[in-house]
Amino acid sequence: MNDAQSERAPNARPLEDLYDGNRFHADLYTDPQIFELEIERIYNQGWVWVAHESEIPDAGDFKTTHVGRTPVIVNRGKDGAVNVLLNRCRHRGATVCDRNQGNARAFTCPYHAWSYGLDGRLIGIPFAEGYAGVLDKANFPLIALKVGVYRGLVFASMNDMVEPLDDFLGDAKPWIDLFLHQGGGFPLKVAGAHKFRFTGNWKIQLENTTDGYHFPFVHRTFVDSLPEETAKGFTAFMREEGPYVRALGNGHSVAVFFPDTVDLSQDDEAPVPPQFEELAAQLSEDYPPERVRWILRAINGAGFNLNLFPNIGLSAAFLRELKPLAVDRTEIRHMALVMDGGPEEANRMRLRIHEKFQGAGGFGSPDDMAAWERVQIGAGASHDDVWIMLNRGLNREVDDGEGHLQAHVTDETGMREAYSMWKRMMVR
Amino acid sequence: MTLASFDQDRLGDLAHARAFIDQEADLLDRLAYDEWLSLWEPSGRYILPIDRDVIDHAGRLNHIYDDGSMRRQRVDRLMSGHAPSASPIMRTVRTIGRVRLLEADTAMLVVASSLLIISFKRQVQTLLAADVTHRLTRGADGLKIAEKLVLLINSDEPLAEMSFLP
Repeated sequence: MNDAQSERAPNARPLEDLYDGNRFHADLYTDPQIFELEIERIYNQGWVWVAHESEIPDAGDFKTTHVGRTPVIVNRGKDGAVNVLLNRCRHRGATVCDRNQGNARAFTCPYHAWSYGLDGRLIGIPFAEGYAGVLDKANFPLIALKVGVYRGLVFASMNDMVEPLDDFLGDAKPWIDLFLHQGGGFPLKVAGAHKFRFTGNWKIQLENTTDGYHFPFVHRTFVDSLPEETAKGFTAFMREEGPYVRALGNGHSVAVFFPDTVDLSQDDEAPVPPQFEELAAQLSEDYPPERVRWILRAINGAGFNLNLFPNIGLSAAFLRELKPLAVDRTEIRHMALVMDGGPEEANRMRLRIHEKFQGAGGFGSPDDMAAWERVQIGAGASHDDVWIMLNRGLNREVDDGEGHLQAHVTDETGMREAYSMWKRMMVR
Repeated sequence: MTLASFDQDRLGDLAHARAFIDQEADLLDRLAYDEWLSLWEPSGRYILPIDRDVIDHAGRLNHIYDDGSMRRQRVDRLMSGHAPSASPIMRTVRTIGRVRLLEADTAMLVVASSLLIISFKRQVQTLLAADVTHRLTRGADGLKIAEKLVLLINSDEPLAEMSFLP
């Protein structure tokens, strides 16, 4: 591995000094060499989320994405297995697919028409006589990444020696299971995504998924737009004792905003809110009362945000993916989730709820973006001693009895977990 | 339809529609959002799709899919001064071109146009391009918007902040 560490300025602080469990240096947002190291040591070495299985349901379905900055194709083979392949022709290096998604029987390079099967096998070289005795097709497939799937979440790794996905997800797995209960008994399906880019470092977004503290300030106009009862719920967690954030190990954490809706399969006996009464009546024509109550209870998603290091969040009712583009440039994809095979009216309601907050036209995402961009601008202030505080709640952090640190949902315990993992992967 | 086949009524309809969408653009550029809201049928839909070639927008995820209540909330949000992304609201200058009358009868005009918006905020100037379709009802007090569909040229690609009404 190329050791970019040696390329850091001679007077730069050592990486291990940049985060101390209390604060981190703003270089983590602004230093291009640290960013290069992050790509090498985090994105190219560990597990990275690449797809939800519902994005590629049938044989031949594919999407293109990136692992770190490396272009990859995620597809479903004829055997039903998920393949993740480097999107790079073995001949001269061109990408062999430049569509965002689709269905294909093979991938053909546009340059000299080398073609590859869904499993990456090199199946065709035009005018192959120039390679007789020179090159054996069997040795030049598209390079396959290691693939791991947990409950529909597809992860890939460029590191063959990476730990098993089950071990990496660890204590986050029960929370993934709980997240799926919002399907109301149906599997979850990705139904479109908002994509946007902001001028800031990827970790600003990573932090945000377990940042309960910002909500009433950054999202004041969203809260103001809600029916009174719903609005109360969105600010109550600031003061109440029940809501918590918990470190889950390996950089993962969960922020529980609404403890009553952690497990949506459990009936909370709460009345159906007035804004859903009409929908309840429609659903009652096709589903028994307890199923109708489940679907409606789940319509705003689970009562928590699960943050999986380094690039995927299972956030209330949607999936949030982040892609680091440059030290100060990040792409985000917010995927709406609906019930696969579930009632159309309820799925449409889920889409409308998602649209209201998310994306460039939403009432929430643009304000997050504005705040994050201002973090990047401020962090870039030319002063050697700019530190980002990460110590909220250190005074009230407790062990949950199973070895996880836990504090109030507005505290920075989840972020500290992410930066501990950052340090573990970066400093060696 | 070729220009030669236009009769005077159709040219009149086209001019009427064009004046209306120019006026709408002016209101939006001047942030006269309350007046803009009054241009709408209460049941009118304001739609910015993500996916292209979609007919059933209600069944798909959109950037914007507003009824009257959502439009009101959207305007209140932008004008509140409490939204970090909309303080200040982006400045915009928009240009409308290639206006075509797709349908015209006594009740309705359907108009397609091209829209270029130059937006500006914090030293960043951005160009947005879109195909727009207005469905306009004709009533006693003039034209009203029954549907405005804005298909951004990059609707299905990552967008930047858009703290104004396209």
